[in-house]
Amino acid sequence: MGLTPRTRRIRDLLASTKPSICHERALLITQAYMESEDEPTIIKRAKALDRILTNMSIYINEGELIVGNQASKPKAAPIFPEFGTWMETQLDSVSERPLYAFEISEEAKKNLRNVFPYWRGKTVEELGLSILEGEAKRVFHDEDNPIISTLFLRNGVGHIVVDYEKVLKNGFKRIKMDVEEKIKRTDPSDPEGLRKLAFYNSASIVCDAVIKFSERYSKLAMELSEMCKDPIRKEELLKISKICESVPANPARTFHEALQALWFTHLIIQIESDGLAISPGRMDQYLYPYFKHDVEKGIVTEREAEELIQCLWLKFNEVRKVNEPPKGGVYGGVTMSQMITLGGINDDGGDATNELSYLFLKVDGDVMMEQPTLCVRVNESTPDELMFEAIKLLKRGTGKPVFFNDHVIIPTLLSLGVPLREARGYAIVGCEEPTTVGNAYGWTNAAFLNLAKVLELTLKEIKESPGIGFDELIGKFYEKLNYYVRHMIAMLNAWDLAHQERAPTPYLSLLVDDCIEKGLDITAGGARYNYTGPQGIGLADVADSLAAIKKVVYEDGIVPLGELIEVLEENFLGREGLRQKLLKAPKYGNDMDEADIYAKEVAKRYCAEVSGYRNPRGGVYRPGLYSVAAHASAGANTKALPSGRRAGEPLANNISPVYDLQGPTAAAKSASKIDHYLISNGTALTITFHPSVARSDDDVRKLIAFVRTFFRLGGFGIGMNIITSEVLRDAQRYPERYQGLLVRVSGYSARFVDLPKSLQDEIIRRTEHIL
Amino acid sequence: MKARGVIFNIQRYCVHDGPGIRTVIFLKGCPLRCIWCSNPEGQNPFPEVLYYEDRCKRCFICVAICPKRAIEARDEGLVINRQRCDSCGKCVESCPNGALEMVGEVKNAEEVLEVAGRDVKFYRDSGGGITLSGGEPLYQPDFSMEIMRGAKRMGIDTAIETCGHAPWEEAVKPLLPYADLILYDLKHSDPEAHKRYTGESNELILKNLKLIDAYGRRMIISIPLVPTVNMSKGVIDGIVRLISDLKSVEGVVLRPYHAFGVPKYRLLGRNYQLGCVNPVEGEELLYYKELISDALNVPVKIA
Repeated sequence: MGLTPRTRRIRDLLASTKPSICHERALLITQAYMESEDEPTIIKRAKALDRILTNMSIYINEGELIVGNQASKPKAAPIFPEFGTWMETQLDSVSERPLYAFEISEEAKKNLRNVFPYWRGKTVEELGLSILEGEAKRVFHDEDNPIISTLFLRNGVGHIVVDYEKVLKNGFKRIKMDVEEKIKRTDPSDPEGLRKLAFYNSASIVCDAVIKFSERYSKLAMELSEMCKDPIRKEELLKISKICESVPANPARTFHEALQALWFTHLIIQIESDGLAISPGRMDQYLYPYFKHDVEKGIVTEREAEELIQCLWLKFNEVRKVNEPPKGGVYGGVTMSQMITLGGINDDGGDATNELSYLFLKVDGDVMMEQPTLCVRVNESTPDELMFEAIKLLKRGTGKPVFFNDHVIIPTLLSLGVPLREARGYAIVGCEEPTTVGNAYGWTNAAFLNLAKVLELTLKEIKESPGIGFDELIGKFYEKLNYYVRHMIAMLNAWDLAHQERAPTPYLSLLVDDCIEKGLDITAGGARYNYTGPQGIGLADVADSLAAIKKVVYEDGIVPLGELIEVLEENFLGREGLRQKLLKAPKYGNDMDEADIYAKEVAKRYCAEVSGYRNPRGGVYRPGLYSVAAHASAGANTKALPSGRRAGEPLANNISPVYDLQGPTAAAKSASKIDHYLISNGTALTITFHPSVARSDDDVRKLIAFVRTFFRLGGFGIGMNIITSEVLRDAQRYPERYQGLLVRVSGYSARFVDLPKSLQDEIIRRTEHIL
Repeated sequence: MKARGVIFNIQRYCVHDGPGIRTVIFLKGCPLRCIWCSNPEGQNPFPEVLYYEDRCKRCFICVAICPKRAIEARDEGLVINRQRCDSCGKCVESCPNGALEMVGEVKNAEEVLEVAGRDVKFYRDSGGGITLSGGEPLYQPDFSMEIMRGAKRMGIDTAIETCGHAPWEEAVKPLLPYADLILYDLKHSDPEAHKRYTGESNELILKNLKLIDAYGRRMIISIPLVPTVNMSKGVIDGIVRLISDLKSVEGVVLRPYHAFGVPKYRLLGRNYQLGCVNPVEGEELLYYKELISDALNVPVKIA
């Protein structure tokens, strides 16, 4: 049925709206801080949130059924000066960025310029950097630093799935009662008492602020309704007014109320802090009782329910965050990564798929916007039909949804000491990171360690002792790896302490167990599970490089190690012949142990090393192997590699191969040689498919079988890009990176990259035709 | 295992060459010379050198290194004397730019089976297996036979894509017990036209077709739809008549002509005989699909 006329209008308007900067939040938080400077930080934070929610501009746009805005207009990004003031240097250039530009008014610039001076010396960034000590500090400032760690230094943390169900079931009035009860029972003479009371008082302020915020919408809807001439819209506004009067203060009674309560709960997290990847979790599970009840009782028709979901989907696309300044000319995109998890198993271990799982896939295909992101949990009981619908959505070219493997992820969580019931209820945060729901503060996207850069730096040192053997070389690489892991941990622990000190988040704490129970803010370790998750990137580049060194230097003796290192420093200048030999060495992703073994070993080493550390919140470090978009910026900062990769080229995406010649089954088998159970912060294999392998229903069923086999082989997750013609154009430009790209025509043997341009163009034309 | 053979590719994750996910083994050497052939590198039964002109930096190292003096340097690039070349591969090794590649490798069945066996788990979950293609698998009957027999021992489903132009007793019949499915090409109904476009008459092909049918092996008839060659109601009706009485035919696959093979002729230093013809798409394709569907009682698919 697609979008309704209403949601089509909202969508078109949103699609044509340009992102902009909103100064309101920055002004309000600055005022609030100035007025409460002597109070405990956590009270200051609560009062600031209250100030923002009470005074920020609110709107209800034409036709909207789900209401609530993050900033003064759709796609306007609020500013969060308490984390870092890097935005100050961006005011004049942010609208001029060639990518990810934000419009900014002169007034906004002026106002922001006025507030930034107040924040000097008060930000998380400044404190984090001053806490950092010793060698780690030197490494951080070193231009050859292989660690990308500033996301949580300069910004909020986010990356969480809160307990939405609690708000839907209980409402904030009840949550406040729990807090008040705690206040009554807390003895100020107890050693922890006063600290706890400060937390509870802040929590109480925040509960009131949230209720007041929704009441503002109730009032606004009422006013709009009174002015409205269209009787249908008038009625709708009246209904919105009633809903916002009731939720999220009280338990949700209908599907519409549940969606509205969910949206307020979700939105305010994004107003309190600017963390990314605030993920709604298993929406098909916790919304299902409301959906089922209302549809059965005739309170909504399925079509009305679908329209409400479309409205919510559009809301996910209204929230925005400004990305940091470009580094080395590379713009890091920001994805809000509001990940929704579908399917999986229920508490009893049975299939959890329901009508909403399908409906969400359908709505996403109808809305066709970037947010929310989607994933499907797969296990032996997952119906093929759900995967079928999921792949149909993938064919739209958005890369949604990603598949995750219950049979690997649940045991991985169990191995961290999570009870079975909670492990079964996991959801995905952001891109690939599994989390228990509503009780974990996972810091899941804490940093990236550029493994390829670590190899580059290892080789730079070895240049002085070129006579060493291969095993010794690998040993040196692991030493270097451990060295940088250690300093990465020091950095992240410093940022962690700075958040605890300067940016507690009392609102977020209300939504995550056991903060209220412990009387402890989430930044201070209030959550039941506390993790920090840094990712290794460039795994394939390292595996390919080690395999190439082994073959070309140690086995075939084509070039001495010292000379090779010089050639790499010169970026293969005048040595194309040698580069070709390096390219011909065994490569990871082709189901050849000669190269795959290094991916397996390096992954194991990285995971083991990271897993050995603890964070200041009393939790452990969880290793991840994924790259989001960091493989591009990290690649820009990495010299030529023994794999044959030239300086500056992007690194491997996630655990995907760079030079894959044998197609998806080989790539899947290579990837499955890595022990995925160790990668507790998440990973996924990303495979690019030409639409010619996903054309017919029969083709789609083969893709389902492919995913299932990969998961039986022990794969953690898999992202499938069923590509657009743009990707093929990229393959024309960078043929080396698309060696295995399949264009499947029966009985025909060739690789896309081998075809001459004219024929590639013809395939691109046909690709557009198939899509 | 003793038999050795020449293959020019093993392609994994093929989805249009039989049921499920399949590994297609392309055997080199074919008795036909179809003028539209999209795998011309599969025609000669021996390894050959491919020359990628656009990658060539005109360094001419290969010219000096060739023991047979089969490579001539010209301003516009290399000219390889294919009669003189014995495919020793020295030029390929010497090329610093990857402009020369060898197509075709001598392998024994065991080596092929090792690769084919790597995707067994994918075959099982998808109902797939291996498909022998080419070239023409029956051109190397002993080699094909050993691969198929080995695959069956490994529990792998087997299919063979054949033009059917091979001696019954020596090549076709011994293979049948090991082939779960036969993808049988019918390119033209008229013997004369068949000879004109493929170099051989279709008499042997039609004889084998009937014998396989009598033997009782599952068959899917594969019809290439090639403009100027067989794209007329008359010819397609003729092909339909050839198969309408057969009891082992489970379906028909139409393979619309595409020009993806054209650039490979250049790599081999050959001329493309069919000339410039547009790919077959859309309505025209559906017309022929329905023409066949209406006449036969089996599913007709477009590859």
